[in-house]
Parts: sequence; structure tokens; C-alpha cells
Amino acid sequence: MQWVKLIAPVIRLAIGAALARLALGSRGRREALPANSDTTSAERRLELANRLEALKHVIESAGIGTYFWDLTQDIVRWSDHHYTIFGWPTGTPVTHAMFRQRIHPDDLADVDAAINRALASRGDYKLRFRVCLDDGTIRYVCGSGRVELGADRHPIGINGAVVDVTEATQAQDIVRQREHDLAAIAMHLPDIISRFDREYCCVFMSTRVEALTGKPAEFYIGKKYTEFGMPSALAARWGAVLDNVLRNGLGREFDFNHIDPTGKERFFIARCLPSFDLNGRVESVLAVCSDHTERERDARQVREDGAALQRADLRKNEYLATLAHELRGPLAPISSAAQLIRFTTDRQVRDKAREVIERQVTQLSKLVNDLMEVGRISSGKLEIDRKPVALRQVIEQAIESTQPLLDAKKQTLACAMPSAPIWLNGDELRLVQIFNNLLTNASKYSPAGSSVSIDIRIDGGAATVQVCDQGIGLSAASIEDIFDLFVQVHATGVHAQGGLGIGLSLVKQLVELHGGKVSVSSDGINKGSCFTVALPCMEDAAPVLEHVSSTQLPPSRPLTVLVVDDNVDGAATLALLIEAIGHQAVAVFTGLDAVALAAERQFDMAFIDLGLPDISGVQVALRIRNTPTGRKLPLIALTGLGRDEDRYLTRAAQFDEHVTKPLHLDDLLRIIQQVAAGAGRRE
Amino acid sequence: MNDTGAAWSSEQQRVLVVDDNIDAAEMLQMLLEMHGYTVRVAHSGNAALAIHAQFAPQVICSDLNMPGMSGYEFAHAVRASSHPQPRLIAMTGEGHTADRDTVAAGFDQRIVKPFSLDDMLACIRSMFARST
Repeated sequence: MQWVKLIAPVIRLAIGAALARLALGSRGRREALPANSDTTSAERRLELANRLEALKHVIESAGIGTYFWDLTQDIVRWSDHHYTIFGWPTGTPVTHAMFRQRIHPDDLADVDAAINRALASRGDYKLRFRVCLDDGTIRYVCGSGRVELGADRHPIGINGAVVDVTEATQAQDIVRQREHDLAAIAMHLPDIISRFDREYCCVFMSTRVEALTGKPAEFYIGKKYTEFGMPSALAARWGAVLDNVLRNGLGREFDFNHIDPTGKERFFIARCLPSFDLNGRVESVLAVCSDHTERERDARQVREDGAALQRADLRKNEYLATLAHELRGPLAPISSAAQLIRFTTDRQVRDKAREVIERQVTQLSKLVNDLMEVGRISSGKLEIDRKPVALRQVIEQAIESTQPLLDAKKQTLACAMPSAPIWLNGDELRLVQIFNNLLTNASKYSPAGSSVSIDIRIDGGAATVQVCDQGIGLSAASIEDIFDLFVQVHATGVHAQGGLGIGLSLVKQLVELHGGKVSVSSDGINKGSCFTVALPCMEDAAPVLEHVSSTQLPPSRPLTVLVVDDNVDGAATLALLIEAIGHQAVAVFTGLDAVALAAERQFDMAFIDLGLPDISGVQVALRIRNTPTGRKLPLIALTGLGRDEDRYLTRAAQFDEHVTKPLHLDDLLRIIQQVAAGAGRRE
Repeated sequence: MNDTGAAWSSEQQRVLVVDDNIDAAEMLQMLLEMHGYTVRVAHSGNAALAIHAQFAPQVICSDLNMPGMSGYEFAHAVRASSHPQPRLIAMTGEGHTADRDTVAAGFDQRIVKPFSLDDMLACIRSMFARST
């Protein structure tokens, strides 16, 4: 024990002093004899007395009490400080029995045994025990003694010393309690707490270490960090940090990865702090290793999310740039065609220019529709209206709408389909959109004169439709994200190939909404691509659906149509078109004019733009509905707004139909014929 | 209607139009032919390179974003070829396309779609003027 080491030299000194006193005492007794000594002896005695007094002072200053137990008379002689330690007035006659009365009952047997052993062995004893004073105070003392032998070698007494170590013991108890508390706290902390001495040996390790290394805390105690079984690189880092803290007395921090017993990688931050002794020297290093695995994982997630957002932002910017390009693409031939019509009277050239305008306007409309789909995809509002539908009909419609593209590039299309009808439970419009997009892509990314194939099979309960081309193909990297929104094929790795990067993402969404799957394969760049769509089939044949085209509708009677649009060109051209197909049309350019005119004149129907400058189209509709003539007037919302919420708004405003611009001639004919037949009139 | 005012006769003024948008290429061909130029069209960079070798146009108007070989790559290939070097006009739908990119690829001039006929004719005339 530390305190024994500390006081042992003092006790030895005290014993020496006691012996000296004993010697002096014997001479003192001789002093009582008639004074017949010479002067030298007197001087010598005086000098000894002075030395003894000085030594006594030193001993008492050190808090040491000395004693001599005369075994022959059972008299115990104490120094003044011994009386102080044992709480009796100085000079009180003391026996060994009285001495024993003061000893704490729990320590008495130990004291007796130590003294008896010393007497039996004619040797020394040394032990710590407690002394109980009359007022209940308990003192910790360290007692020691040496057996003195008489001429016949029999013990005649014991001389020795006691030191009051109460303060040191209490301080030690506090330290011990603190260490105990620290260990208890450390046990419940998620961190690993350890302490290394100046020899880099572990003197404390919290039990938490076992969960993270598989080895108990005891394994580490007394071992150097190099014996922990760490990878050599990590051990080198620990060594450098411990060395630095021990040398410089400054805390250090570092991080490291560790594989736990379950094979999971964990991330730690280690903080190493110096502990100083009373002389201000670094005596040890306290190391706290905090498990930051979860926090690091969260931080990594945040970094990855940030990177994903950046990628998405980049794609959005690319998308906007491509959008501008894609819109300009059709505008160029439209502009050229319009100029051709202006410069030539040649009927064939004008017809060709008209065809170009129609085709490119269709392309522009598709672009705008795709734009609308982006909103639906990203807000998850894409919905399908399921009905039994024949796959043959879907494929035929998709081919029909793609045929002009294929023809323009002189591409051939081969379609293989089972003769037995295949029924799907799906949204016909959306299903057509799926295959239209795939066929459009096949044509667009394939050279002129190449061939495109559609192969339809029944595989279990699913219909698989494979659309293959001989086009620019896909790299392995492209295949991974080809169905992501705004992703475009980069065949050369230099420039995008055009398109908004929406089509295939839309295909995937629509296929999945129908409970199917879409996949793509390609042998590589310039080796073509194959898109495979698998859709669940209906088991029972569905009833034959009626497909009514505009050409089947009965011829309509002449109508008077009100056209309301603040775009003067838009209103005027629609009025001209209506008149060109045999009806009458009146165009107005403000909402208030429309309301006034509708109250004055009898119209058969009205096309109303929604975004009017004075009052909105919705207001126009509501006001017309409040007039006697307008209550049953078929109202058609003609607008650039095609979102679900826009359609909901026009329904609420009692419009009969919602048509998005540009109005196709087929749609115009259908609407007019429905009104003429009375189908569009409100009851 | 020959108002090109160049040193060549109308049949000598050869223009190659390169655009994967077939309508765009054909409309421009018809307009340029109406103004006296001899025009051929190609819908891909590879097809255009073959026509360039045989037709020897003095001016080529090329789209930039085309499937397969891009307009930039086409221009590089033309400049690297041993055939007579034409003037190259880049027709771009990207308003932000930098002049330095088109110049670096070997183009002499850049025109943004949709362009007016007057602008295109002025551009082509300036190219022929520089070719003399």
C-alpha cells in the first residue's frame, strides 16, 4: 500500500529515536547517581540531550507517536504525541490492556496476531488499524514495533511508533470511491474509457470494450497498446498520439475505423487527455473513444443526399437547356414552311409546307404534354382509368401514331402478334402512350432505312411486348439509369441526343401503374436496343369495345359558335377554321365582351380561353350560366392548362368540356358534331 | 430568282443541309432552291460526309445535336478531310451554345433556330463572299 511505503522511513527514524531515548533514559537514570563524572562526560550528556530534544521535535512534527511496552512490568510508555493520537491526556498511566481497549473491535484480532507473531519470531510487526476515541472519532493509524530482547534472549519489551494516517486514508478512500464511481459511469457509457500509464500500459479499461472488440476489459489491463491486437497502422497512430500527450501534456483527438465482432464497421473518435501528478508531470493518459458510427452514417447520408440533389439539379438544368433546344427544333421547320407558303404559289410545295407545319405542331404538342407529365410524375398524381382493353388495339394505335416518323426515315416496322386476342385491364390511352414512346424512341435513335420490330408473346399470365431497333444502342452505364427522369442517351459521350429525357421514365411509371415491368437490353453502342414490357393479362375475354371515330359521327347542322380568346391570332384562326368546316363563328377578345355578346345573341356553343386579361374564363362561364340564354349553352374550355386541378376547376365552373391547346381538327369536328347532335347540350 | 450575288453561277453554288429533323432539312432545302442554290440534304453526320466527298459544297449548314455523330464531330471530320474545305454554318437550337465551341469545332458561323429566311440567306451569302 502506498501509505505504508511513505511512512516506513519515518517509522524507522522514530524507532531509532526511541532507541536513542531509551539509551538516554538509562543514562538518565545513571544521572541520578552521585555526580562523580568528569566534565567531558557532562558535556557529552548535554550534547546528547540537545540532540534528543531536536530529534523529538522532528518526530512530533512529523505526527509520529513513539512508545515502549515494558513486557516485564506491563507498563506502556508513550510519547506526548502518542497520547494525542489515542485521545488520552499526556502522562496517563497506560497498560497494554488499555491500549487494546482503544482498538476498533474489527481490527483487534489482527493487532493481537501481529504482535504475537513478532514476539514469537522475535522480530517486527507493522500494520494499519483503527483507533476508537471516547467521543466516537475513529482514527486510522499505522503501527509498527520491534521486539527487544533481554540478555537471555527473551523478549523484554517492544518499542515502536504509530502514525496517524487518518487524512491520507480518507483521501485514499475518496480516490478509491471516485475510481469506483468512474468505473460505474464508464460501464454505462457508450464510450470506451481507458487509461494508459507512462509505460503505455493500460491501467483502466471500461467494460464497454467487450461489446466492441469481443475481449473483456481485464484482457487489456497491464498490456501495452501494441499488445491489443490492433492493425499495425492503427497501433502506430495510437503510439504517436500517446507519446505526444505524455511528452507535451496537451490533449489530442483522432478518428479511426474498427470492425466489431459482428463484422460491422464502426467509426470512432478518440480523445486523449493528460492526467498530471502533484509535480505537474503527466502521469497517465485518459482516452475516451466515442462511437460515432450512427452519426457518421447520418452525415454520410446527408452528404449522399446533397450529392443526389446536386445531380438532380444538374439534370434539371440540362433538362431546361434541352427543352429550349427541343422547342426550337420544330419551330425552325414551321418558320421555314410558313415562309415557303408566303413565297410560292406552287400547290404541291404549299401542301408539303402545310404537312410540315401540322407534323411539327404535333411534335410541339407532344413536348408540352410531356412537360405536363413531368409534373404528374414528380407529384405522384399519375392515375390510370382501368377498363378491359385489347392489346392489339393498343399496339395498332401506337403504330398508327408513330408511322409518320417511321415513314419519314424510311424505316420498316415488323410486328408479330398471336392470333388469339389478348385482353388487358388498363387505361387504353396510357397503354398507347407506353408503346408510342417506345416506338418513337426506336425510330428516333435508329438510322434511316433501318428496321424496328414489335414482338408480342404470352408468357404465363403476362403479355410481353418487345420493341427492338437497330439504332445507336446503349452502353452498360446508360442501361442503369435510362429510366430515370431527365436522363438522355449520350451515345458519343459528348452531346445529348435530344429529347427531354421524360419518355422512358414515363413508360416505366405507366407500366408499373399497370402492375407490369419494363426492362432494356443492348449489346452496346451502335448495336441496337430492345425494350421489353411485361403486362398482366385478363383471363376472360372482355366485351368488344366500340371505337367511334369522328368519321363515323353523323354530319352536323350549321352552328353559330362564340370564340373567346385574348390571343387575337388564336381566336381569329379558330373562327376561320370553324367557318371553313361550314359553321358560323364570332370571335371576341375579352371576357366582358363575351358575356355581353352571349346575353345579346343566341349561340350554339362557345370556346372560351381561361387566361383572359379582364375576367377569367371561369368567371365568363359562370356569368354566362347566369343568363337565360347561357344556362344550357355548351361551353368548351380551350386552354393551355391541362393539369388535373385545372380540369377540376373547369368542371366546377360548369364547363361541358376541357380541351388543351392546340385544338386538333379531329377534336374540333368531334365536339361540334356532338353539339349538333345535342349530346353536348346541358339539361 | 437568283439574288446570291456571288462569283459562281447559280448551279455552281452548292449548299449541303445537314439536320436529323427531316422536315427542317427539307424546308430549308426548298427555300434555298427557290433562291437559286443547288442543295443536297443529309440527315446524319455520316451521310453528310459521304455527300460532302461527292457533291463538294462550298457551304454546309449543319445542325449540332444529331443522333450518332454530332454536328461538332461532323465539323471536325470535315476539317480533317482532304476534300475541298467548305464554309461551315452551325444551326443550333441552344441559345447558350458558345461561339468558341462552334469555332473550335471548325464552324465559321453560327445561327440560332428558328431563324428567318433573310437571316439565313444573309449568312449563306456572306459565306460565299468569303469563299471567293
